[in-house]
Amino acid sequence: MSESMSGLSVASPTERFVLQADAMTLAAAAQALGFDSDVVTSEARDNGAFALLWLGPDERLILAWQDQTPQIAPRVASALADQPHSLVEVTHRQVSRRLQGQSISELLNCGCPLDLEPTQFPVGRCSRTLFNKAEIVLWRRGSNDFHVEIWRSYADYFERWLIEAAQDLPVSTL
Amino acid sequence: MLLIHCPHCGTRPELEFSYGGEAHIARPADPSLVSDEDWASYLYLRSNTKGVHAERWRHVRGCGRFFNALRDTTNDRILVTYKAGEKPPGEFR
Repeated sequence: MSESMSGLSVASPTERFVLQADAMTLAAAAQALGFDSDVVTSEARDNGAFALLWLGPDERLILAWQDQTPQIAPRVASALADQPHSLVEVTHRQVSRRLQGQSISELLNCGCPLDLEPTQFPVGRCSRTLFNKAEIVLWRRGSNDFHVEIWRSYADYFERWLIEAAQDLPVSTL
Repeated sequence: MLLIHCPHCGTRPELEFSYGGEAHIARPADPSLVSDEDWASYLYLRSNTKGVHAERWRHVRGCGRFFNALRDTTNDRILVTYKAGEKPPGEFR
């Protein structure tokens, strides 16, 4: 269903991990993934191979974009060695959607209570939040370009809400 | 919609938060030394303040952290929020 719609498309990270650890260990893991430093509050970064998303003060979501072979766990293993941490694979818990096009933040605001004005939610910001009853991770990749992580069983609910909401908005893309 | 200031993420809509009961209630270090009355008081008795009330909130649909808030129960106005484990800011003590 979703592939046929130009405004809503499927993003396909090959792996997803949630990492919880203290600040020093998180910084070491970020460097092991090829980032200069750890992300700051509500920030998300993408270096082409991996995306690093801030979920909480001690919690990060890591996405891998390339090869099908396991990437994330081997890369961060040495940074995490001997440090207390939790590294949980959530690859198949959730799916990714990409929302692009004019008025897309207004469309998201039909279900998401965050203020998505560019001054309040600029490009490069991410947050765990709600879309109606479903928990999502929202990441603004461009002014009219959002990446959404949503638990697998809520994806259909999320898409149907968007399609219904799009009927009340000047959104031609859904 | 109420806006609540999370000490970690900033000001966010109330839908993302859940209430966590009265704050600053310390569990007795050794429960076996506590009388039944004191234990029942620790478990069940809360101050039920009319006025400024210290309470725990959790940013459950955001950063996931617990934090504390001072809320006036007569008008639902949240005066200040601060991180778990901290004391209220000086002017509110």
